[in-house]
Amino acid sequence: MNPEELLAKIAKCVERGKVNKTSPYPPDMKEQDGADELSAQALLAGIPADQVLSKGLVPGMQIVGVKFRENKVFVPEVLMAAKAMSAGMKHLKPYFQSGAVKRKGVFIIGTVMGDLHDIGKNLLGMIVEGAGWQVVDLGIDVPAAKFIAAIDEHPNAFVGLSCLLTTTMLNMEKIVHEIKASRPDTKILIGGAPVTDDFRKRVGADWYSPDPQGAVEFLNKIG
Amino acid sequence: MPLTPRENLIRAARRQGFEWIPIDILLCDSQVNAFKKNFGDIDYFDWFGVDFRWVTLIEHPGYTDGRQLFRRETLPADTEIDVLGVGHSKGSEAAYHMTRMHHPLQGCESIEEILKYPLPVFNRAENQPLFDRVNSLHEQGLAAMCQMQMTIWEAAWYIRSMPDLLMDMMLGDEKATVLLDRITEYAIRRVKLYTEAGVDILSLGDDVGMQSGPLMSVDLWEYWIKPRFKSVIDAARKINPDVLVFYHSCGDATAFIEGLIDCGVDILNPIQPECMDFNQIHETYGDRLSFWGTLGTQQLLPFGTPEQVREVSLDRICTVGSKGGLILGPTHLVEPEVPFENLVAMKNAARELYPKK
Repeated sequence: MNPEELLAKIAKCVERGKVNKTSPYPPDMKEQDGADELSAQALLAGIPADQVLSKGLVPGMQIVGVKFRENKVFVPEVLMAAKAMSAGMKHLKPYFQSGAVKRKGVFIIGTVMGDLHDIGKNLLGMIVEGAGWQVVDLGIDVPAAKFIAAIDEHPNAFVGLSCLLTTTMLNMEKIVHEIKASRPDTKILIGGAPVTDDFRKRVGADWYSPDPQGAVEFLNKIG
Repeated sequence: MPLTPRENLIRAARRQGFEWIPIDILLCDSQVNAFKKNFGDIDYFDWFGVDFRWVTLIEHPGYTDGRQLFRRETLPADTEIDVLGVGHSKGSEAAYHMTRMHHPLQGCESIEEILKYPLPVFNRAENQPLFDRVNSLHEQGLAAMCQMQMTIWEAAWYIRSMPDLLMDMMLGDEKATVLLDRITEYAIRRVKLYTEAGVDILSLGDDVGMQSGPLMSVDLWEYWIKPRFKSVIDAARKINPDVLVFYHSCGDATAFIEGLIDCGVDILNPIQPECMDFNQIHETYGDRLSFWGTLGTQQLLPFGTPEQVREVSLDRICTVGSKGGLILGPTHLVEPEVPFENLVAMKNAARELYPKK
């Protein structure tokens, strides 16, 4: 298999959620190598680690993000893809540590104070991480101070705020204002079921996306 | 002779004509407190003219020490464990009544542990109060509705965690089969008792929609959930073929509607207008399905004006026409930010065209 074929196959494994050879999913790829084995083979064959990431793993997850936005795949398929991605990424760990491979930047995410929902925020994290970003997940019920502390720890990071409830949209607004007041250069993305672009304009956040892939596209554009 | 509220609700739900538009409403604690401040210590169901009352069976946890169920997680000190064994810990003050969920079988790799997992227990003898309550409601002319939402899929993922259960389902793992079968058997036992007690409407449900579309593919749902869900309805209909089945799913549940009708669902709730087009859904399914809710709690009720609430309510009522098929209400629990005037506007609109109540 030439390097291009191998990288394309890695991308296909992530897109289809094929983790490793023993995984029975997807049924039509049974007993074939998965993202795990193929990433190891690619590195062994001398393909640079940054290419395994940028031409293998990331394009696979990119397709998943687009398909998720278009309702062609759903939460379970994203979870399987993220698992395949992570199986490939574990082989890249030493290269991240040595600096041979770099992330595109840092994206700090959290569900805003008062809101304890995490599924949407976690999906966002998986898809943005799969696009080559480092994701710092602050969890749920996150106050402004915690976001600000994370921004100080990761200068130039982008911030993503999530909420599910209309009740907590008010907290989202306050958190956007607090972050913008104390760290005015920080770019803030907002999302979640009740959030709209009109709301974004009103509260002064920088970007709204109804789906994770929209966040990836914004980050890739300005990051 | 005028219809009783029970008769009116059932006729509306069966699209057999009605005398007034039935209303449903559920207020959060802070809304209840505000209501009581204004109106005194009266049941807000009475004030809004709700035609049914909720009934609940008496059941007990199958465990003795709920914390022992959590073999892989140290729970926060304030965690309360519900009858299913699911942990709920408090959030910050800003989280009001919401809690963080802890899943006892998250990370579990043992079929044995799932097989032995203690589901709630109950029996007929101790549930005489349920039977008495249903009889009493019927004597008052009110319908009885039981709360059995989180019927299969949700009850299972509350215990197992959503990612773990979805992965099990995708991988065809026996752990999903065992857990879903056990939850189904538990749901069947409950639904039988409720139906024997004479409940008019079984409130079933599992959230399978997100704001943007289905949470899982219809194929995955049809393979893992649909047959089990249908077996729950079949068990109830063996006891009472006329029992009405209500199904709740948050988000956009459009893709699942045909399947739900196949299973025997009569009423769909809540038809979130932010992601489901009521008129289109009604046009497609209105001859086979009735609708419960339809007034959005994300935009219309918290941020709309009373006049907007009135307009949307009247539009819904006119869409279904004189056969009915609509129980008007907020799509979800009414949260603190909804102005009370908007709820009054909903009530008044419901009575505007059909003032008999």
